[in-house]
Amino acid sequence: MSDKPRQKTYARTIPHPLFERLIVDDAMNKESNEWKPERYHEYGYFPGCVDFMDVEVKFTHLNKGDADHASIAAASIKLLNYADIDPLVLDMNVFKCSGHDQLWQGNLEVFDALKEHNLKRLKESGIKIITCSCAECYRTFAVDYDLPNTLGIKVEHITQTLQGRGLKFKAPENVTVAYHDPCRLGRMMGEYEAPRDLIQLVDGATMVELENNKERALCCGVSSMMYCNDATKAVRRKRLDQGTDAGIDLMLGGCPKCYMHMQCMLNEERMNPEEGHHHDYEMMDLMQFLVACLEDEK
Amino acid sequence: MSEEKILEDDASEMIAESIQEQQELDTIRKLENREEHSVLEASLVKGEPLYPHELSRDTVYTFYVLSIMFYLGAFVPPPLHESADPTAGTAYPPPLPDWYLLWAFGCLKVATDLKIGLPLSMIPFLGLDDIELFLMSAKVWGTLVQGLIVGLVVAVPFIDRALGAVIDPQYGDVINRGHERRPIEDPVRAAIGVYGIAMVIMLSVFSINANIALYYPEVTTDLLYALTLWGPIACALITYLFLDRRRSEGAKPLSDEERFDLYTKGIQDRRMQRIYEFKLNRCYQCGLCDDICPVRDMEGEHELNIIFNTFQNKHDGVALWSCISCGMCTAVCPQNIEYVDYVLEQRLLATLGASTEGANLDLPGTGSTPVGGVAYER
Repeated sequence: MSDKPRQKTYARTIPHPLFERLIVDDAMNKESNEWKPERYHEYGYFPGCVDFMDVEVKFTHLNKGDADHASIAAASIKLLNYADIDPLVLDMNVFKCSGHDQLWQGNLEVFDALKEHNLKRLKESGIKIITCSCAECYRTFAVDYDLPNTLGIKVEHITQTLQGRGLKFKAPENVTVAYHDPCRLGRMMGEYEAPRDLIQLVDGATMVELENNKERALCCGVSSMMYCNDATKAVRRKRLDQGTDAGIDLMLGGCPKCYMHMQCMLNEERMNPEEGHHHDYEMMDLMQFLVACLEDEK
Repeated sequence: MSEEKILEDDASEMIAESIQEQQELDTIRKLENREEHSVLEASLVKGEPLYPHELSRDTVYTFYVLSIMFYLGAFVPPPLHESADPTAGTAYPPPLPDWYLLWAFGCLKVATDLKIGLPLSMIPFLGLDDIELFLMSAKVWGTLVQGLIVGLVVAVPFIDRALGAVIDPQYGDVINRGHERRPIEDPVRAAIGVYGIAMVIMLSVFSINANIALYYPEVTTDLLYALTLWGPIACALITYLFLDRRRSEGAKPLSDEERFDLYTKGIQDRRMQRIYEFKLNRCYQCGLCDDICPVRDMEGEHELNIIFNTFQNKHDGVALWSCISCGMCTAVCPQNIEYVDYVLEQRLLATLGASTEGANLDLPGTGSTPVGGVAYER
């Protein structure tokens, strides 16, 4: 026993996935150069930490998912272009993670480092509106960064950006879909209608409501990547059971984390059919679904 | 004989055991119900109806008491003394009422006939005599004063705030919010209260003047009359001056910030760390958040009862970090308490000042620090 007081190492008390550690490493690297976008953009699109998520999904043996998060970012950019918006892509080359998970894990030092870097970059970028395809980033920018009041930048979720722009979609085949409200977008930011309006635009897609929807929507269980244990899996399974009860073909989410974990759960159930849990539908992100329903390729 | 006795003992033991088992079962059931305070279940719980349950029960009790009184009145008459003698002389010292009615007796004694003298002879050339207008006799006046005092005490709840709004309009919304209750913050009302108490005591003392004069001849009725008149006024003045001086010395009413500082710094047991916990006091514990919490629903009916733990001041450890911060509690809260923000604050507080060294790519469990090792500096 040494006489030195033990150092606080809270970071290890939370079961960090690989990509959380990569983000912490990235955040603590304070080196940064001057950066200037090539031309003026009104809109900025923030894809979030989708690259890190792909690293997590594809290169760790801890989970069963094979979700392709980069396609969410690609689909979002495609849809923004389809709506005649030319966004500046604020990807991980110049930006860093928004820091939502670090904040909610109590990791204030990392969050402050990320926030400082991102605010500096946002000032340099000169955009007026920032749009995110991730509900957690949306909440973090709007509430925790307080961008509308500090930098005067309007924060939108991508469904709000695409809403009311006269888009038309056609589903390749008739499907029954349900929208799973992410907690950050719905309950915390109060946006329930924009994603539903977008789904209503799709010709050939029938939207049904799950048993718990809007304010009472069940959580996917792993906001801010805190745990993936039996309790959170039970929460997720309850949500998936509601999908089966509603008889849907597709469940659509507005947050990459919901997509990632629901899809991981569905895969795991298919790998272990002897356990008897089976849900006969797929989980998709709303952006992936919409881009699959585009009528004409531009 | 002995066998029968043993059998009786066995039976009584068995009865006692069964009663004890029943009590334990009841206790367990109560505890279980306390954990599962569902809103839907609570609405199904109904009390006893007034008719016929309570009505019949009260009727039985009433007749029971009446029969006892009838029996006592009929068969056990009270011991009566000899009949009163109207020709006997007045007793001295006179008989007195009970002690709690002495003030009313004093009112009757203090009162004198109310008269107004009109000095009409001062007016020249008319030759009129002085007239004395007789307003009210001492008996009527003394009786009315008793009613007046009781009426004032009864009227306080009705006129108190209205008077407050008239007396100190700069204080704010006295009608709805009330005024300060501490004597030091309101010397005027305190002085009035002291005047009333001193007056009742002095009236009681004055009412037994004849009995006092029997033992202390130097305490005359005039002296007692003067004391009854001026004593309470002197007490009220002293009270007002003392409290007003204390107030001017700096004993002012607390503002909200000062009160919060008092709670945070002065009362250590409460562990009230942030203003957010202050806001949690809006909760009236309807239990909707607890019912809808998915973590509690899925696991840990007892251990991971996050919100319940918070109100037990145990918001740390596993329960705090098990919250998935989905915000369902906030969505259903009738008081709009942002419970997830509170969880966020508590997490930030719990890891305040922690280092990020070694948090990067080390595998859990390796190195000098085991997984789950959190050392708080307290």
